[in-house]
Amino acid sequence: MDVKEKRVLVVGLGKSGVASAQFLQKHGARVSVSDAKSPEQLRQEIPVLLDAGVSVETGQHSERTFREQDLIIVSPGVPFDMPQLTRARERGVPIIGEVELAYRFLSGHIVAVTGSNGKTTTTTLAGDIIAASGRDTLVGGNIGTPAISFVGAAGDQTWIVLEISSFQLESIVEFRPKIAVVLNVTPDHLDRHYTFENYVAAKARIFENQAADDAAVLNADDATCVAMAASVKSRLRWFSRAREVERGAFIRGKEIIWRDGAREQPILPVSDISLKGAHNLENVLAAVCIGMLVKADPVATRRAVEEFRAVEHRLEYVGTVRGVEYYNDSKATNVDATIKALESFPGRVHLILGGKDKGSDYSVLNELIAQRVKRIYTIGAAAGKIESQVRGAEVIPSQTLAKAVQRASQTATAGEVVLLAPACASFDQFDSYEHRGRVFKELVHALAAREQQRESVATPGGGNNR
Amino acid sequence: MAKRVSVDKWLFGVTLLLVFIGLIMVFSASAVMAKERFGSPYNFLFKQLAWAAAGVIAMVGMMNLDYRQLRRPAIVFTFLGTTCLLLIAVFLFHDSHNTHRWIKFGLLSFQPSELAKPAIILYLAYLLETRWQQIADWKHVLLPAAAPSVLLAMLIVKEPDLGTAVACLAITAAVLYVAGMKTRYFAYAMAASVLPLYFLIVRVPWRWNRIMAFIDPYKDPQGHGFHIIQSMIAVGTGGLAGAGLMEGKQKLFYLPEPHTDFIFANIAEELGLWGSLLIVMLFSIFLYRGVRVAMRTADPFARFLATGITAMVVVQALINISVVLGMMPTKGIPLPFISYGGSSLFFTLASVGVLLNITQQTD
Repeated sequence: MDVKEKRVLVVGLGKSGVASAQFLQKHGARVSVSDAKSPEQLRQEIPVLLDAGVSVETGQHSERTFREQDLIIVSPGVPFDMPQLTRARERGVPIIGEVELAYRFLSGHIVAVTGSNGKTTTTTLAGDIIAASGRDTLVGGNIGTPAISFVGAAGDQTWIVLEISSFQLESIVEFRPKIAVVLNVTPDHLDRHYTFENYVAAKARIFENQAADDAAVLNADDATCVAMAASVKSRLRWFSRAREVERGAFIRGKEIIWRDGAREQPILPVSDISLKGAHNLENVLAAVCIGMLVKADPVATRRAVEEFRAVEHRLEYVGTVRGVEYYNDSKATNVDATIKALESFPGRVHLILGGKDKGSDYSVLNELIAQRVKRIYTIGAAAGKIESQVRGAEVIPSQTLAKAVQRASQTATAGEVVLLAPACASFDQFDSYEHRGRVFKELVHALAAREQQRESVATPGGGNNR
Repeated sequence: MAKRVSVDKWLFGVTLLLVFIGLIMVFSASAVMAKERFGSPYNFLFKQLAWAAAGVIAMVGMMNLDYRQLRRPAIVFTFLGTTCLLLIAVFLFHDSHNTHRWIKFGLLSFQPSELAKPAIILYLAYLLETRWQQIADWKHVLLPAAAPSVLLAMLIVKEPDLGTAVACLAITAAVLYVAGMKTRYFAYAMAASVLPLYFLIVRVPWRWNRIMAFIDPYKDPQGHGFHIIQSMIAVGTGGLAGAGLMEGKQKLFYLPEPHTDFIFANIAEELGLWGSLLIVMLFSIFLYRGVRVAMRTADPFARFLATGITAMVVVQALINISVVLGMMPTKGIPLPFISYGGSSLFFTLASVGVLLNITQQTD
């Protein structure tokens, strides 16, 4: 693909949009970007792009900007069917996403991981496994480093492990991963995909361009994934917690086994996995599948899985108490990070906000709050300001983190999420965001311990269900 | 998609007609003076003819060069940098009329300030092509856009040539306006220029005398008011039909500069109101066709180039004619295409060549 002297429009100024614009500009294209956000919201991005020689439209997507382009790159947040894009498509302008753009330029082997939950964990772990086997490895995608930023860094023998969202899959054309993984499909993002069928179809596009010498990995415990298998043309591998699969990774007794037809290989005991939670077991199984498909060293794979820990304080899964999941994102010390955290959950979030105010405008959270947040618990010095600015959910002033966790645990019901993503610095009540995160985790663990005690009292003689 | 269409015949025709009228009027205005000074009545005519020929060749050359070639940073910044250096270099040359406006190479002499106008326009078009949508961002757009104009204008003021400096800033303002600059910024700029203008006009005796002469020329009819009075006498004597070509009297050592900055006075005297109106009409057509090009093109770079070039011609014509009619204090600004003066004619024609190329690329 040659972009030299081509007029290229990048729609949406997320991380991948900025990276795409810079990449294209460096490769001699005449680049414009368009984002509906206001210039104030894009204070960071605009000067960088202007100085690189990129035209920047903000506040709207004007029809004029979309005219006379040779290529349009859409960011994941942009509705693929918005009228300007539809008309450009009618004029025959190619419209692709950042992942597709990256694919056209990338050397090396691509591993693409998608699914409703667990993408980041699986992608990171798979990257660790491949790297532990001594291969040149790059990890990024939807979260982290955009794929386009790997162009140049990736050689012919590099393994590029990418987390791919369903939005990104909507805008692929030729994208053909060497290994494609669908972890699970649960109703999500229906605001964007309209129907579950569309959403499943978008996810399944990850296999679309694969050929017989590529590989696909699917979750045998997920009915939607099983149904997807029919359209897979590449070598198919399964992973399952519940049953033994013909080809793939599964659990027998207390051990993870990799089986490829007649050949079987034990990888590691389940007890050696440091990640907690059933969903993480699935992620480990999927990562093991990837590792075995790239012929990673089994010993290195085992070591990588043993050593892998959730990244502390960044959307860290703490535990589940009475069906309510607790997540620690203490590192979210600003509004943007809180937005990112909220975007990771489809809804029913109990959000703990507050701390030392950094002069932020909390009202920018309101849209996401209205969509995804059930209740807000405010703590710390910024509480008053937050209470006056946020709208769209019930706000419960709680002063301290301990009170916030306690109140959230009382009101949240099974299937809901309690999230510490405070959008503020920690220094009014804690030494650091790490300190704040640790306190949160201790509170949740104490809650879990009390719950366990209560259960053992309620069911005499039983109690230990682990 | 941009497709090639034929060149705007109106712009092309109007330009050539103005140059042709200019040659005739330069001869008419300068013949007696040239004979007196150089022994040949054709001295100024031949020099102007040579520049006009070179200018038309440059115009046709630029007309056939894809204007998109000009957006290369190497060209834009070399042009701007060279202009800046030449504007500094003028101070090393001997002065003429007590000013440092000219650079002389043997017989040839030219004014770098004539280069400043196209250099500013090209730079503005280059910068605003990618930045105009963020025009409200003064730190990253307005400031880098206006800074070179202000710098060059300051150098030109130092020559001193306040008129050309004002023209440069007026062109910059026109391009920024088309780029969508909020009008309140113009008010800020006006407010900011009050103090420098005070020091440049009120505190500089000869400029202040020009202002006083503009307000009441008859207070000092043989001194500061002389120029304006002679100019108005010329325009008035012309009447409706004019005295006839070559028949003007004012140019006979009454009206200073009859072939350069005050050539319009000579036109009015010899060709009358009808001839003057024809000139005004030709510039009006130029304005209309130039704006039309700027409005039609989808390419912002072309839009700003076309705006700047049109503004360059029209702003100068407007100032020049206003001065001649006593509607504005005297400023040393030539009437584009017509006034005697090689560098002005040459660079204006070359710029119009760029404008003509843009007309060929419009949808």
